[in-house]
Amino acid sequence: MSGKKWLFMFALTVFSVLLLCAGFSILVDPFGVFGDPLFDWYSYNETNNPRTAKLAYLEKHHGEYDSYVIGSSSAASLDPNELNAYTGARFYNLFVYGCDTKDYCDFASYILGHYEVKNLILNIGINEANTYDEGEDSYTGRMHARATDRSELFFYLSYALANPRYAVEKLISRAKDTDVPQVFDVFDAPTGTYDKRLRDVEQIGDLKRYEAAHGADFAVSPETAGLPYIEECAASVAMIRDLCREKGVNLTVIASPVYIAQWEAYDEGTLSAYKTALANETDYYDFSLTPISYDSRYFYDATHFRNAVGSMILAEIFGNDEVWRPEPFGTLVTAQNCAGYLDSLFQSPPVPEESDHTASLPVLMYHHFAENPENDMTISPEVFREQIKALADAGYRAVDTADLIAYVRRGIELPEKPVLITMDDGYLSNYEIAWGILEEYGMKATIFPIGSTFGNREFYKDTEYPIKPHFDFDEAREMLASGVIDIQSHTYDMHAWPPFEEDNPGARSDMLPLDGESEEAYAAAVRSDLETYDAIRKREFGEDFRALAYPSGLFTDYTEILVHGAGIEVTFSTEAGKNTLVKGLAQTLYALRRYTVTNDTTPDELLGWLEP
Amino acid sequence: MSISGAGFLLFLTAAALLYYLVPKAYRRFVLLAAGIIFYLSFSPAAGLCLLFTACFTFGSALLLGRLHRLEKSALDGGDADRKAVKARFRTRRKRLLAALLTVNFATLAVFKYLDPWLAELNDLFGLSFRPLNLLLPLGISFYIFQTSGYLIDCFRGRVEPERNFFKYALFVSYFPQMIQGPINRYQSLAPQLYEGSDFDADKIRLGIELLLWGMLKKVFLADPLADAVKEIYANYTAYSGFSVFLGAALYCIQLYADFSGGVDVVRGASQIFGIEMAENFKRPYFSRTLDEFWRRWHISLGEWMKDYLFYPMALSGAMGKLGKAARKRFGADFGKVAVPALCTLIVFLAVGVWQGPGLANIAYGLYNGLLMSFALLVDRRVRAFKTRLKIKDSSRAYRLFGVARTCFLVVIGRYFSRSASLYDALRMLWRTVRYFGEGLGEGNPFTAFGLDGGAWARVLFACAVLFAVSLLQEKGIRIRETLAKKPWYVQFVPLFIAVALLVVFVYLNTDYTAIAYVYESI
Repeated sequence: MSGKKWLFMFALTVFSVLLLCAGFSILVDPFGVFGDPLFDWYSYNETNNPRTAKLAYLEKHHGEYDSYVIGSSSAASLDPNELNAYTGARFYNLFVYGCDTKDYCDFASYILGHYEVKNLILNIGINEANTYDEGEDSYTGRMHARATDRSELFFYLSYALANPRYAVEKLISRAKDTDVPQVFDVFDAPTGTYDKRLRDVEQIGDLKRYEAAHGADFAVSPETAGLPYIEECAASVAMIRDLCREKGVNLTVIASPVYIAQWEAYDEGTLSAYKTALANETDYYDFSLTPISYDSRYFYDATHFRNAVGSMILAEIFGNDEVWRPEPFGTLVTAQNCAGYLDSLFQSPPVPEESDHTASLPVLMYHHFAENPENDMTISPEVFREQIKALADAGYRAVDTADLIAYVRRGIELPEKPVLITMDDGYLSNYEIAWGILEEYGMKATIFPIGSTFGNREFYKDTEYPIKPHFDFDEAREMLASGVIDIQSHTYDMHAWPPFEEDNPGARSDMLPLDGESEEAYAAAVRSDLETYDAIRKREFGEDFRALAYPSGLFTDYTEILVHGAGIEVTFSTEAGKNTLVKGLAQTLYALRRYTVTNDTTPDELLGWLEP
Repeated sequence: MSISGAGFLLFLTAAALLYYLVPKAYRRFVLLAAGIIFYLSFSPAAGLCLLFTACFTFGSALLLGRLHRLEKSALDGGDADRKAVKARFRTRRKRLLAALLTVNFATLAVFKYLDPWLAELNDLFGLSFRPLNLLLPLGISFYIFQTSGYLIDCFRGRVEPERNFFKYALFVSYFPQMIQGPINRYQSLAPQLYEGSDFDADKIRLGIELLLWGMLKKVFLADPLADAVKEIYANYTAYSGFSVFLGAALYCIQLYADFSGGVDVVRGASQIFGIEMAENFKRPYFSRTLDEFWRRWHISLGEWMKDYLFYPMALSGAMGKLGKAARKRFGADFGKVAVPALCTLIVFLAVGVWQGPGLANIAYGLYNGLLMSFALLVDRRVRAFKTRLKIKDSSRAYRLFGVARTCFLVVIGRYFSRSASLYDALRMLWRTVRYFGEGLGEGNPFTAFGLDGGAWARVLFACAVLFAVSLLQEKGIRIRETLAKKPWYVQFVPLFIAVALLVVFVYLNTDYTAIAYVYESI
């Protein structure tokens, strides 16, 4: 081959290698800039670079929305579904992580210039004045060229010729993808928010446990440099304000809640300057320092408040008293009241008492009762009477799951010494023995019957295997009507006894996934079981159920996601220990711990468990 | 501008296109401009240093040339005592040269040695000289040697001093050689530069292939080893003697892939302009003796030392006297090798100093020099011994033994040339001997320092490819020339693989951080 031909081949080789790489990156599209032709997987693309991928997503879907939230990741917990319910609009949360106010302006100019926009919510976090106009050099931090005056050709070319590693990683992640968010797909594409389903089933009531698990995420070092971009931040807000006025768009500005360590990382002068600069440009709701700032459980980490707090913010703005908020919570700051507001904020910060928003709750777990117990899990009437009498004498007042929900959701106080008595499986002895004794002492209990064995008196289901008698629907209705007994769920049929079910190889003794069961099949099984039970409860008792005790106390994070996703508000494990309920945090009702009471438990022992 | 980056390739392409687009007479200006841009992209301040050396040596050469001319006219003038005239001018030239070289090497000394030696003095004698904190100008060790060689050649009358400063400046600043040599000779490089080359696709092709090969060596063999080697040399006390030895062996591989890869890139880039540079490596790890190793490793430095230090020294009057005295005192056999042995020792001392200012480098030079002087001294006895045992030099087993022995000696030498200090080098050696097997039972001694299984597999594969290619070359096969005769698809496959590897793992790989060439900081 002649040298000239070789040079031609060389040039062609370089060109074709570049073309192959570009083709690969365009098809797999790890940043979503080319419309993700193969996967349409925006929760992944947005995780890689929310700036590019969210705008690319909106290019396809902007017709489905008419209102937007703009902010950094501290805006992630403002839920478009709630906003839609309050306003009747169709919101999309356009927050991006690591956002600075230059990005805010770019986004606002672009969507107001190109899409139909009725409402705009601008969320300003405390760190927004820390950086300005950063990230343009990196694939993961660059703004979509459409929202800037940078060259679109260069933009697309650079993503086509991006590091092929990104596309390879997307393929690998695709193979590992599950229903639950993982580090590579943290977004929920249709709403634009973070998919917090996994994080929001974590047990967070016990502060010590929470701090042990996440303490490092709450460590903040003092920001000695202060907030260098206050001026730019205020100018950005002013620019968006003017733009909204010009386009007739309804603008709401929120200063989001800040964890106390993050707040204290700045000195008073810096914070005052920041708040005042904002107030000089626009009125805004300030939620930055409120009683929740002092409790890490209201935050995912030092810079991100929980979705539950997002609900509280929206309830405050839209006046929904069904959602608990501490007092004070949120102030509409204006140029006029700003100085006075800041004075009072710094002079008397809203430090709460722990008891203002938390309650300790012991839960007792019983099963079967009988005159002559064959084992210590069966309680004799005498023992039960002694135990209940001891509780009543010691001043304990029984509560039910509705009380717990009312406490957490609306802040309705529990009795001073609350106790929740529960009974699993739905034995007839609950009806014949326990009910009467409870009534006698003015106590109440919650029973978790198994749906498929309601009324089984002699035999297990339709087999000929003998069974301890279970109460039937009539008896259940009778107990319910008395107000002493509440009937919730122990699943419809996920607490079976496999030896009695030779014909049913898929029989489940608990709610764990079966060996080798696919995620889809497991989710379908759980959902179907919950729906079946719910249908029965509705048919027989006229209302949905709201609480579930996990059979044998076994569950996974995914079980919790499925169960709470189906609307169940309270779940119970069998782990021994007290629970801490926190107002406003529904997930403190998840997987509540229970003390197993046996026939050998003496009243003193019982009271010992419950002592604060 | 790192020569591993896409920026260098674009720069090179642009320079080459411009080079061949302008008329031949102007091509040297393209190279000069490219050199200036390239050098300034690293450090404008260092540019001043380069400019000084260029001006100084340019003027110096003219002075030396003037002396030659004066001598010639004096002789032509019919001066009676030709011998006396010659001697007079010789002395004048010698004095001038000594002064010029002193100044030239002083530049190097100020930048490279002054601070470390001041620190050493402060340490030793509790003094408090303030360091100058000068940054080492890029390529200074190379261009000082290159220009000094030019001055010596002018002194010897082998080279006519260049009268056009712009031409001479191109010789000094020719950009491919700036990073890590090789140290080129004026006679072979300058004419090519000044004249300009015709477009020759075959030459360009060879250049591109060499450049790609050099990049592959650097990126897929030298760089993956860099962190592991750094870790072992920095924390050798945490590793078994075995791992320390392994680390030094890996450093030998890293350094070869790094230095020879870098020189391949440089020579390849130069070939694209049709300009041939001195060869710097000839598969040194196939050497059977240390002496042979040094003739195949960093050849341009070795040749420089031979021509400008070894021979002048060995042939000097003082050494002649010394040789005579040695023959008288120790007999003919020993006396014959005494001078070469001493000169070898001095040359390698200089090689050590050239490597760097620390005592470890001096020890490195001494180590090599002593071994080779010793080999010279005992050579006759070894030969006799081999004859008695009927060992043939050409036997396969003895050849392999020689290669293994040389590699071993080179690895030990690398304890010195890479260590932070002489003290560390000696402690590493002690650790290797005393704690060779320590802790070998616990954990994997091959992966302890950060090279995991995957990295080992990749490195071994790269080694195997390099070894196979070297073996073919050792058998006299000229890889690129042979490949050029094959059908297009046979040529296409390795080309595609090389381009794809480099594009994917280097040029599009934003995570790739070019690790500086080891000899970049010399």
